[in-house]
Amino acid sequence: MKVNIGEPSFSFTLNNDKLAKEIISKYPETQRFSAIMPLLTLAQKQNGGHLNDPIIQYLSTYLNVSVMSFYEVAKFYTMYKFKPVGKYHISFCKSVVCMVLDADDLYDHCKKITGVMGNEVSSDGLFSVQQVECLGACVNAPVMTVNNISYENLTKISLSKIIDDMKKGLNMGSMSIVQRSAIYHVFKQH
Amino acid sequence: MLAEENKVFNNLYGQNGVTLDIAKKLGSFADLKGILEKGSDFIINEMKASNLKGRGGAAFSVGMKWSFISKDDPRDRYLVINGDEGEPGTCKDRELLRHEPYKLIEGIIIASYAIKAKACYVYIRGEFAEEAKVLQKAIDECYQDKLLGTNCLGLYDLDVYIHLGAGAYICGEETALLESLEGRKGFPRLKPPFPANCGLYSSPTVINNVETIATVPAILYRGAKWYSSIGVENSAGTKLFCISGHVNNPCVVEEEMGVSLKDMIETHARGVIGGWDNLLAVIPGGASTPILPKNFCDRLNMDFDSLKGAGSALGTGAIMVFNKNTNLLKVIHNIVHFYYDESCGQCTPCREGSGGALKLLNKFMNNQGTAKDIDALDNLVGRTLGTSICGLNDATVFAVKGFLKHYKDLLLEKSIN
Repeated sequence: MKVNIGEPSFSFTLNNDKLAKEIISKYPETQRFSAIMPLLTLAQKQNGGHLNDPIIQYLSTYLNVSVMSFYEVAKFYTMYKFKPVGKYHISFCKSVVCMVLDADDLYDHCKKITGVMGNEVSSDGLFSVQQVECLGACVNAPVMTVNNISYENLTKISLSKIIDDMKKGLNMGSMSIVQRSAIYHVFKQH
Repeated sequence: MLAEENKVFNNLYGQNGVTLDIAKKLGSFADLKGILEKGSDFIINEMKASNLKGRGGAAFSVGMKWSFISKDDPRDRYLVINGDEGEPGTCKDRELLRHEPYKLIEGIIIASYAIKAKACYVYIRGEFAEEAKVLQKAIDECYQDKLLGTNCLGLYDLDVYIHLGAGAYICGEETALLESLEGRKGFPRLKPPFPANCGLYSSPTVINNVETIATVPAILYRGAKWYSSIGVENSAGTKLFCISGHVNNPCVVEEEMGVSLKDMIETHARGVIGGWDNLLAVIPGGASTPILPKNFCDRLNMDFDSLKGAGSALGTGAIMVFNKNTNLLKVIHNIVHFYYDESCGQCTPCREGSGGALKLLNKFMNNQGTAKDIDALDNLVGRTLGTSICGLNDATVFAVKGFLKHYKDLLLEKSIN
């Protein structure tokens, strides 16, 4: 496997190396393949949201599983990315319930206020926006996730506030569901 | 409608908090040892007698599925939980993972004991990272409390692991899920062999939905008789319904099987936006179940037989409500696009068929469809039913057939000749 020049080499941080070993220990010793997906997920997270050839090369050696086995998996599942994403990677649900509740308008609004053109990352590096199939939160439609954290019952007002706070650098990822709910009214009270 | 005392899920919205102590106060693990001591045969027979059918959409008898695991097979056995919820309209397992993880874990312990499994993998879709964290915390608490691990209650050894998916609807199909868990792309397997004989790592395996397993403890605590007395003939017990779309209060709610659709929408979802007369149509069980116009919904009960009689299906219990502001052509286009996107590409009829159907619907979306295109669509879905390894293509077929049955006129009106 030829490694492209210009792509920096990759290795797990000490902490992630520990996590990776824990992951591998979850599966029977003879079933190393099972660790392919969680290792890809871990490496992608460490690398800021996308994979590349050196990472696959590294993981292949790490797990002693062929490079092709990693590519086959990484190219099949939509959450593995081979192109850089923004610091905040936003996924809008476009499936049927969100659609009839005008998710397309919110998606357009989101692209406008984040300055994201097409599938590119916004020029400040902060945002990338994509539409995805059903996120499985239909009673709280319209829904989006930001780096895998969900924001629900969206309106233009709540969406604008969320994007504003991200621009201000608030650490939204560390907020609990309850906290996000209180600030952005993104979850229904029962 | 379902009486409060008959509810299986008493913390569905997390209203009491989500910790092991709270779960115990609400009845979880009250007499787990007592149940397990009754033995594997008792548990499986009780599950059969309860008439609980799988809640993931396929509705197969749970007790029956467990009984297929051979008693004296020397291989390791596995329990796999399907939490790859992604059928449009469906979001019940998510609620359970968030707020009722302890019922799921207790169900896992009982099911594993019944089939003599020492390891259980819970496959959760990658987008549910937060829900997986909640479940992991609950699993950790149960390890500390010696409900999981080795020599628990002096009766069993059991490890529970979470495996996260990474964005593929097809992995909700049980054999695709096994492929994914084994570290490959999610291509469904040919059956037979069935997972009960040759499942995860070629070992005997039971795969059940999150809701199914989370229901198990209640059945064993309160008895199969109690559970089967709820609901209607052929559709026993309670079910989580997800009511979404054009209603005033979209919600996930537990109801008895056979409940009236209208009552449920009026009571739990506080009615259709614009009133019942503003209702246009309902998709009653997830995107793959055929759409039903309002006149079917006026007196429709939510159980397997009633919905079959109306030409649809209960599916996952995901009720999508559309009022008269809805463009149903966009709805069916969206659904077909979903299946086109999510086809794994293994079987030609599904890969090309969904694309073909989408192309034809695209023509109508662009006001370029013809009467011939309607026939072509009908012909296409008619010929591809049952021609693929798994049911994904059939889901596309059912959705399109349902649409053509009731709304062919919509396409005719849009035809340019």
